[in-house]
Amino acid sequence: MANVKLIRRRMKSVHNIGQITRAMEMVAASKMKKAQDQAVMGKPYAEKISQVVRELVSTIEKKYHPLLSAGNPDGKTAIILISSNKGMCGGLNANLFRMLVRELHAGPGTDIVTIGKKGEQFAARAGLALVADFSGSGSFTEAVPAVTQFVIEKFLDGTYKTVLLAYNVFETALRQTPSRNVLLPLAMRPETDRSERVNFREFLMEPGPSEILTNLLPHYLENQVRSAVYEAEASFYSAQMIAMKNATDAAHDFEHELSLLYNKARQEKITYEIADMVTARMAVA
Amino acid sequence: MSLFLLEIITPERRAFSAEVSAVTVPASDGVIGVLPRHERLFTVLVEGEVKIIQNQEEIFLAIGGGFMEVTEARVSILVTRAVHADELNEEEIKKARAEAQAILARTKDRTSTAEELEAAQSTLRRSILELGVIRKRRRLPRPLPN
Repeated sequence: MANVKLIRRRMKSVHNIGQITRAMEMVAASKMKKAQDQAVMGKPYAEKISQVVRELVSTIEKKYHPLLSAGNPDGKTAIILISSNKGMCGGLNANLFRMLVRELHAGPGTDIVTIGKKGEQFAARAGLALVADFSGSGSFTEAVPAVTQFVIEKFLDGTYKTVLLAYNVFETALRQTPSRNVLLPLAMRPETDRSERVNFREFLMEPGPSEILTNLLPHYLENQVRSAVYEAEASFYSAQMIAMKNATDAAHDFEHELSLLYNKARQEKITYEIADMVTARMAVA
Repeated sequence: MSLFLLEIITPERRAFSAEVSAVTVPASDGVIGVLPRHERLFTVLVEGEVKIIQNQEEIFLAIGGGFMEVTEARVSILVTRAVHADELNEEEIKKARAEAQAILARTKDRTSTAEELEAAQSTLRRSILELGVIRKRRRLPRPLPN
Protein backbone atom coordinates (compact mmCIF):
# COMPACT_ATOMS: atom_id res chain seq x y z
CA MET A 1 0.00 0.00 0.00
CA ALA A 2 1.21 3.53 -0.84
CA ASN A 3 0.33 4.74 2.63
CA VAL A 4 2.94 2.55 4.28
CA LYS A 5 5.65 3.76 1.96
CA LEU A 6 4.63 7.37 2.54
CA ILE A 7 4.79 6.99 6.32
CA ARG A 8 8.14 5.26 6.06
CA ARG A 9 9.51 8.18 4.05
CA ARG A 10 8.22 10.75 6.51
CA MET A 11 9.73 8.81 9.41
CA LYS A 12 13.08 8.90 7.74
CA SER A 13 13.01 12.63 7.10
CA VAL A 14 11.80 13.43 10.61
CA HIS A 15 14.61 11.28 11.95
CA ASN A 16 17.14 13.16 9.85
CA ILE A 17 15.82 16.54 10.99
CA GLY A 18 16.08 15.34 14.57
CA GLN A 19 19.72 14.46 14.05
CA ILE A 20 20.51 17.81 12.48
CA THR A 21 18.84 19.82 15.23
CA ARG A 22 20.61 17.69 17.81
CA ALA A 23 23.96 18.54 16.23
CA MET A 24 23.02 22.23 16.09
CA GLU A 25 22.07 22.11 19.73
CA MET A 26 25.51 20.78 20.67
CA VAL A 27 27.28 23.39 18.57
CA ALA A 28 25.21 26.18 20.12
CA ALA A 29 25.89 24.82 23.60
CA SER A 30 29.65 24.92 23.14
CA LYS A 31 29.53 28.37 21.58
CA MET A 32 27.30 29.58 24.38
CA LYS A 33 29.89 28.44 26.90
CA LYS A 34 32.56 30.43 25.12
CA ALA A 35 30.43 33.56 24.72
CA GLN A 36 29.33 33.34 28.32
CA ASP A 37 32.91 33.05 29.56
CA GLN A 38 33.86 36.05 27.50
CA ALA A 39 30.98 38.07 28.94
CA VAL A 40 31.89 37.04 32.48
CA MET A 41 35.62 37.67 32.09
CA GLY A 42 35.02 41.15 30.75
CA LYS A 43 32.78 42.14 33.64
CA PRO A 44 35.41 43.33 36.18
CA TYR A 45 36.99 45.56 33.55
CA ALA A 46 33.68 46.96 32.36
CA GLU A 47 32.51 47.62 35.91
CA LYS A 48 35.72 49.30 36.95
CA ILE A 49 35.86 51.53 33.91
CA SER A 50 32.24 52.57 34.18
CA GLN A 51 32.73 53.33 37.87
CA VAL A 52 35.68 55.54 37.02
CA VAL A 53 33.79 57.31 34.24
CA ARG A 54 30.72 57.83 36.42
CA GLU A 55 32.79 59.49 39.07
CA LEU A 56 34.72 61.60 36.63
CA VAL A 57 31.57 62.73 34.88
CA SER A 58 29.80 63.65 38.11
CA THR A 59 32.62 65.85 39.36
CA ILE A 60 34.42 67.21 36.36
CA GLU A 61 33.32 70.35 34.60
CA LYS A 62 31.60 69.80 31.29
CA LYS A 63 33.89 72.13 29.42
CA TYR A 64 36.77 69.68 29.52
CA HIS A 65 35.44 67.46 26.79
CA PRO A 66 32.77 67.77 24.06
CA LEU A 67 31.50 64.24 24.75
CA LEU A 68 30.37 65.39 28.19
CA SER A 69 27.93 67.91 26.75
CA ALA A 70 24.21 67.22 26.80
CA GLY A 71 24.15 67.10 23.01
CA ASN A 72 22.14 69.02 20.49
CA PRO A 73 18.56 69.28 21.86
CA ASP A 74 17.09 69.22 18.34
CA GLY A 75 19.04 66.13 17.36
CA LYS A 76 17.56 62.75 16.57
CA THR A 77 17.64 59.58 18.61
CA ALA A 78 19.77 56.75 17.35
CA ILE A 79 19.41 53.14 18.38
CA ILE A 80 22.19 50.62 18.03
CA LEU A 81 20.31 47.38 17.50
CA ILE A 82 22.34 44.28 18.27
CA SER A 83 20.63 41.16 16.95
CA SER A 84 22.10 38.13 15.21
CA ASN A 85 23.14 37.14 11.72
CA LYS A 86 21.30 33.85 11.80
CA GLY A 87 17.92 32.72 12.98
CA MET A 88 16.98 29.38 14.53
CA CYS A 89 16.83 30.95 17.94
CA GLY A 90 13.12 30.97 18.77
CA GLY A 91 11.56 34.30 19.63
CA LEU A 92 14.82 35.98 20.63
CA ASN A 93 15.04 38.54 17.86
CA ALA A 94 11.27 38.97 17.60
CA ASN A 95 11.09 39.92 21.29
CA LEU A 96 13.87 42.43 20.84
CA PHE A 97 12.16 44.03 17.85
CA ARG A 98 8.88 44.18 19.73
CA MET A 99 10.55 46.12 22.52
CA LEU A 100 12.11 48.40 19.93
CA VAL A 101 8.76 49.33 18.48
CA ARG A 102 6.56 49.31 21.56
CA GLU A 103 8.80 50.73 24.25
CA LEU A 104 11.32 52.80 22.38
CA HIS A 105 8.73 53.95 19.86
CA ALA A 106 11.15 53.53 17.02
CA GLY A 107 9.63 55.38 14.10
CA PRO A 108 10.56 57.66 11.24
CA GLY A 109 12.36 60.07 13.62
CA THR A 110 14.79 57.47 14.88
CA ASP A 111 17.90 56.30 13.14
CA ILE A 112 18.77 52.65 13.41
CA VAL A 113 22.31 51.32 13.38
CA THR A 114 22.37 47.56 13.21
CA ILE A 115 24.83 44.87 14.16
CA GLY A 116 23.32 41.63 12.91
CA LYS A 117 21.59 40.77 9.66
CA LYS A 118 18.25 39.98 11.32
CA GLY A 119 18.03 43.49 12.70
CA GLU A 120 18.88 44.95 9.34
CA GLN A 121 16.13 42.93 7.65
CA PHE A 122 13.65 43.94 10.32
CA ALA A 123 14.46 47.64 10.00
CA ALA A 124 14.10 47.46 6.24
CA ARG A 125 10.77 45.61 6.47
CA ALA A 126 9.35 47.89 9.16
CA GLY A 127 10.30 50.98 7.17
CA LEU A 128 12.67 52.33 9.81
CA ALA A 129 15.49 54.70 8.94
CA LEU A 130 18.41 52.32 8.68
CA VAL A 131 21.51 54.50 8.53
CA ALA A 132 24.26 51.95 8.88
CA ASP A 133 24.72 48.22 9.13
CA PHE A 134 27.83 46.74 10.66
CA SER A 135 26.94 43.04 10.38
CA GLY A 136 29.91 42.52 8.08
CA SER A 137 31.43 39.15 7.48
CA GLY A 138 33.56 38.70 10.58
CA SER A 139 32.55 38.51 14.22
CA PHE A 140 30.54 41.27 15.82
CA THR A 141 33.40 42.23 18.12
CA GLU A 142 35.39 43.38 15.10
CA ALA A 143 32.62 45.83 14.29
CA VAL A 144 32.69 47.44 17.74
CA PRO A 145 35.34 50.14 17.12
CA ALA A 146 33.67 51.17 13.85
CA VAL A 147 30.20 51.44 15.40
CA THR A 148 31.51 53.44 18.32
CA GLN A 149 33.43 55.77 16.04
CA PHE A 150 30.33 56.26 13.93
CA VAL A 151 28.00 57.25 16.78
CA ILE A 152 30.61 59.45 18.47
CA GLU A 153 31.06 61.45 15.28
CA LYS A 154 27.32 61.82 14.78
CA PHE A 155 26.84 62.82 18.40
CA LEU A 156 29.57 65.45 18.23
CA ASP A 157 28.29 67.03 15.03
CA GLY A 158 24.82 67.37 16.55
CA THR A 159 22.94 64.84 14.42
CA TYR A 160 22.02 62.78 17.46
CA LYS A 161 20.96 63.88 20.90
CA THR A 162 20.68 60.40 22.35
CA VAL A 163 22.26 57.11 21.44
CA LEU A 164 20.68 53.95 22.84
CA LEU A 165 21.84 50.37 22.82
CA ALA A 166 19.16 47.71 22.32
CA TYR A 167 20.16 44.10 22.83
CA ASN A 168 19.27 40.88 24.60
CA VAL A 169 20.72 40.53 28.07
CA PHE A 170 21.88 37.05 29.01
CA GLU A 171 20.31 36.19 32.34
CA THR A 172 20.38 32.42 32.35
CA ALA A 173 20.53 29.85 29.60
CA LEU A 174 16.75 29.78 29.71
CA ARG A 175 16.11 33.49 30.05
CA GLN A 176 17.18 36.34 27.84
CA THR A 177 15.52 39.70 28.22
CA PRO A 178 15.50 42.47 25.65
CA SER A 179 16.95 45.58 27.25
CA ARG A 180 18.27 49.00 26.46
CA ASN A 181 21.03 51.27 27.73
CA VAL A 182 21.73 54.92 27.21
CA LEU A 183 25.17 55.17 25.65
CA LEU A 184 25.20 58.92 25.07
CA PRO A 185 24.95 61.59 26.38
CA LEU A 186 27.07 60.70 29.37
CA ALA A 187 25.65 63.57 31.41
CA MET A 188 22.29 61.83 31.59
CA ARG A 189 23.64 58.85 33.42
CA PRO A 190 21.88 58.38 36.75
CA GLU A 191 24.01 58.87 39.82
CA THR A 192 24.57 55.66 41.67
CA ASP A 193 25.75 54.74 45.08
CA ARG A 194 26.86 57.94 46.69
CA SER A 195 28.68 56.02 49.37
CA GLU A 196 31.45 54.90 47.05
CA ARG A 197 31.74 58.28 45.40
CA VAL A 198 35.21 59.63 45.37
CA ASN A 199 35.89 63.25 44.80
CA PHE A 200 38.09 63.45 41.77
CA ARG A 201 39.20 66.93 42.59
CA GLU A 202 41.44 65.39 45.19
CA PHE A 203 43.04 63.36 42.49
CA LEU A 204 46.25 64.27 40.84
CA MET A 205 45.53 64.06 37.13
CA GLU A 206 48.24 63.35 34.68
CA PRO A 207 48.67 64.69 32.04
CA GLY A 208 45.48 66.78 32.62
CA PRO A 209 41.71 66.33 32.84
CA SER A 210 41.01 66.97 29.17
CA GLU A 211 43.79 64.68 27.91
CA ILE A 212 42.59 61.95 30.22
CA LEU A 213 39.02 62.32 29.02
CA THR A 214 40.09 62.30 25.40
CA ASN A 215 41.66 58.94 26.03
CA LEU A 216 39.17 57.54 28.48
CA LEU A 217 35.75 58.43 27.05
CA PRO A 218 35.98 56.85 23.58
CA HIS A 219 37.57 53.81 25.17
CA TYR A 220 34.77 53.63 27.70
CA LEU A 221 32.05 53.91 25.05
CA GLU A 222 33.73 51.22 23.02
CA ASN A 223 33.83 49.00 26.06
CA GLN A 224 30.12 49.58 26.70
CA VAL A 225 29.28 48.56 23.14
CA ARG A 226 31.60 45.58 23.38
CA SER A 227 30.03 44.22 26.54
CA ALA A 228 26.58 44.64 24.97
CA VAL A 229 27.81 42.61 22.00
CA TYR A 230 29.10 39.88 24.31
CA GLU A 231 25.76 39.75 26.11
CA ALA A 232 23.88 39.58 22.83
CA GLU A 233 26.11 36.77 21.56
CA ALA A 234 25.70 34.73 24.72
CA SER A 235 21.92 35.28 24.54
CA PHE A 236 21.80 34.22 20.93
CA TYR A 237 23.63 30.96 21.43
CA SER A 238 21.66 30.02 24.51
CA ALA A 239 18.37 30.83 22.78
CA GLN A 240 19.50 28.80 19.80
CA MET A 241 20.46 25.91 22.01
CA ILE A 242 17.03 25.88 23.66
CA ALA A 243 15.21 26.26 20.35
CA MET A 244 17.18 23.36 18.88
CA LYS A 245 16.56 21.23 21.96
CA ASN A 246 12.83 21.82 21.56
CA ALA A 247 13.05 20.97 17.88
CA THR A 248 14.91 17.75 18.65
CA ASP A 249 12.33 16.74 21.24
CA ALA A 250 9.48 17.54 18.86
CA ALA A 251 11.16 15.47 16.16
CA HIS A 252 11.48 12.51 18.54
CA ASP A 253 7.82 12.78 19.56
CA PHE A 254 6.69 12.98 15.97
CA GLU A 255 8.84 10.04 15.00
CA HIS A 256 7.23 7.99 17.74
CA GLU A 257 3.75 8.94 16.56
CA LEU A 258 4.64 8.09 13.01
CA SER A 259 6.01 4.70 13.97
CA LEU A 260 2.72 3.86 15.71
CA LEU A 261 0.88 4.89 12.58
CA TYR A 262 3.27 2.90 10.45
CA ASN A 263 2.81 -0.28 12.49
CA LYS A 264 -0.94 0.10 12.38
CA ALA A 265 -0.91 0.52 8.60
CA ARG A 266 1.40 -2.46 8.20
CA GLN A 267 -0.81 -4.69 10.36
CA GLU A 268 -3.88 -3.55 8.48
CA LYS A 269 -2.18 -4.50 5.26
CA ILE A 270 -1.37 -7.99 6.57
CA THR A 271 -4.95 -8.46 7.81
CA TYR A 272 -6.29 -7.55 4.37
CA GLU A 273 -3.91 -9.98 2.72
CA ILE A 274 -5.02 -12.81 4.98
CA ALA A 275 -8.68 -11.93 4.36
CA ASP A 276 -7.96 -11.94 0.63
CA MET A 277 -6.34 -15.34 0.80
CA VAL A 278 -9.25 -16.76 2.81
CA THR A 279 -11.89 -15.43 0.39
CA ALA A 280 -9.88 -16.71 -2.59
CA ARG A 281 -9.68 -20.12 -1.06
CA MET A 282 -13.37 -20.17 -0.27
CA ALA A 283 -14.17 -19.15 -3.83
CA VAL A 284 -12.05 -21.99 -5.21
CA ALA A 285 -13.46 -24.61 -2.84
CA MET B 1 57.20 46.50 55.36
CA SER B 2 54.07 48.17 54.04
CA LEU B 3 52.22 46.78 51.09
CA PHE B 4 49.35 47.83 48.86
CA LEU B 5 46.85 46.00 46.70
CA LEU B 6 47.58 46.05 42.99
CA GLU B 7 45.08 44.94 40.36
CA ILE B 8 45.80 44.70 36.68
CA ILE B 9 42.58 44.19 34.73
CA THR B 10 42.16 43.68 31.00
CA PRO B 11 38.93 43.14 29.06
CA GLU B 12 39.78 39.43 28.88
CA ARG B 13 40.86 38.69 32.41
CA ARG B 14 42.28 39.81 35.72
CA ALA B 15 45.95 39.57 34.91
CA PHE B 16 47.30 40.33 38.35
CA SER B 17 45.86 40.86 41.80
CA ALA B 18 48.00 40.73 44.92
CA GLU B 19 49.65 42.72 47.69
CA VAL B 20 52.87 44.26 46.41
CA SER B 21 55.45 46.69 47.73
CA ALA B 22 56.04 48.78 44.60
CA VAL B 23 55.07 49.12 40.97
CA THR B 24 56.53 51.04 38.04
CA VAL B 25 54.32 51.91 35.07
CA PRO B 26 54.79 53.69 31.74
CA ALA B 27 52.60 56.83 31.88
CA SER B 28 52.14 59.17 28.96
CA ASP B 29 54.64 61.68 30.39
CA GLY B 30 57.22 59.12 31.43
CA VAL B 31 57.67 56.27 33.85
CA ILE B 32 55.91 56.58 37.22
CA GLY B 33 56.79 54.59 40.30
CA VAL B 34 54.13 53.95 42.91
CA LEU B 35 54.98 53.08 46.50
CA PRO B 36 52.60 52.48 49.41
CA ARG B 37 50.68 55.57 50.59
CA HIS B 38 51.04 57.26 47.23
CA GLU B 39 48.98 60.37 46.61
CA ARG B 40 45.67 59.81 44.79
CA LEU B 41 46.38 59.79 41.11
CA PHE B 42 44.65 59.13 37.85
CA THR B 43 46.80 58.81 34.79
CA VAL B 44 46.93 57.59 31.22
CA LEU B 45 49.25 54.69 30.50
CA VAL B 46 50.99 53.91 27.26
CA GLU B 47 52.27 50.65 25.79
CA GLY B 48 55.26 49.51 27.76
CA GLU B 49 56.41 47.34 30.61
CA VAL B 50 55.18 47.20 34.17
CA LYS B 51 57.60 46.25 36.90
CA ILE B 52 56.11 44.90 40.10
CA ILE B 53 58.10 44.32 43.26
CA GLN B 54 56.64 41.58 45.40
CA ASN B 55 58.54 39.84 48.19
CA GLN B 56 61.74 41.50 46.96
CA GLU B 57 61.32 39.89 43.59
CA GLU B 58 60.66 41.62 40.35
CA ILE B 59 57.75 40.66 38.12
CA PHE B 60 57.53 42.02 34.61
CA LEU B 61 54.47 42.42 32.41
CA ALA B 62 54.08 43.85 28.94
CA ILE B 63 50.98 46.04 28.70
CA GLY B 64 48.99 47.84 26.05
CA GLY B 65 47.62 51.35 26.59
CA GLY B 66 45.19 52.13 29.38
CA PHE B 67 44.71 53.90 32.68
CA MET B 68 45.88 53.75 36.26
CA GLU B 69 43.91 54.79 39.30
CA VAL B 70 45.70 55.15 42.62
CA THR B 71 43.57 55.41 45.74
CA GLU B 72 44.24 54.75 49.41
CA ALA B 73 42.68 51.32 49.14
CA ARG B 74 44.30 50.04 45.98
CA VAL B 75 46.03 50.64 42.70
CA SER B 76 43.98 49.61 39.67
CA ILE B 77 45.54 49.34 36.26
CA LEU B 78 43.08 49.08 33.38
CA VAL B 79 44.79 48.17 30.13
CA THR B 80 43.89 46.69 26.77
CA ARG B 81 46.26 43.78 27.28
CA ALA B 82 48.70 42.54 29.89
CA VAL B 83 51.02 39.57 29.46
CA HIS B 84 53.32 38.05 32.04
CA ALA B 85 56.91 37.47 30.99
CA ASP B 86 56.57 33.72 31.42
CA GLU B 87 53.52 33.63 29.14
CA LEU B 88 55.48 34.99 26.23
CA ASN B 89 56.94 32.74 23.58
CA GLU B 90 60.22 34.11 22.33
CA GLU B 91 60.20 32.17 19.06
CA GLU B 92 56.75 33.41 18.08
CA ILE B 93 57.56 36.99 18.95
CA LYS B 94 60.72 36.86 16.86
CA LYS B 95 58.74 35.47 13.97
CA ALA B 96 56.15 38.23 14.31
CA ARG B 97 58.91 40.80 14.45
CA ALA B 98 60.53 39.42 11.31
CA GLU B 99 57.21 39.51 9.47
CA ALA B 100 56.51 43.05 10.57
CA GLN B 101 59.96 44.13 9.48
CA ALA B 102 59.46 42.48 6.10
CA ILE B 103 56.22 44.40 5.57
CA LEU B 104 57.85 47.65 6.60
CA ALA B 105 60.79 46.99 4.30
CA ARG B 106 58.41 46.62 1.38
CA THR B 107 57.09 50.18 1.77
CA LYS B 108 59.63 51.36 -0.75
CA ASP B 109 57.93 49.57 -3.63
CA ARG B 110 54.51 50.63 -2.25
CA THR B 111 52.95 47.19 -2.21
CA SER B 112 51.43 47.44 1.24
CA THR B 113 48.39 49.47 2.26
CA ALA B 114 48.22 52.01 5.05
CA GLU B 115 46.39 49.61 7.35
CA GLU B 116 48.96 46.91 6.80
CA LEU B 117 51.72 49.34 7.63
CA GLU B 118 50.02 50.47 10.77
CA ALA B 119 49.43 46.90 11.88
CA ALA B 120 53.04 46.00 11.11
CA GLN B 121 54.32 48.98 13.06
CA SER B 122 52.29 48.12 16.11
CA THR B 123 53.36 44.46 15.88
CA LEU B 124 56.96 45.57 15.67
CA ARG B 125 56.61 47.87 18.66
CA ARG B 126 54.93 45.16 20.66
CA SER B 127 57.44 42.45 19.80
CA ILE B 128 60.39 44.66 20.71
CA LEU B 129 58.70 45.45 24.00
CA GLU B 130 57.93 41.79 24.72
CA LEU B 131 61.45 40.66 23.90
CA GLY B 132 62.70 43.28 26.36
CA VAL B 133 60.41 41.88 29.02
CA ILE B 134 61.64 38.33 28.37
CA ARG B 135 65.24 39.43 28.60
CA LYS B 136 64.63 41.08 31.95
CA ARG B 137 62.91 37.96 33.23
CA ARG B 138 66.00 35.91 32.39
CA ARG B 139 68.27 38.05 34.46
CA LEU B 140 66.33 37.25 37.59
CA PRO B 141 68.40 35.49 40.22
CA ARG B 142 65.57 33.31 41.50
CA PRO B 143 62.51 31.88 39.78
CA LEU B 144 59.25 33.63 40.58
CA PRO B 145 56.56 31.97 42.63
CA ASN B 146 53.53 31.63 40.45
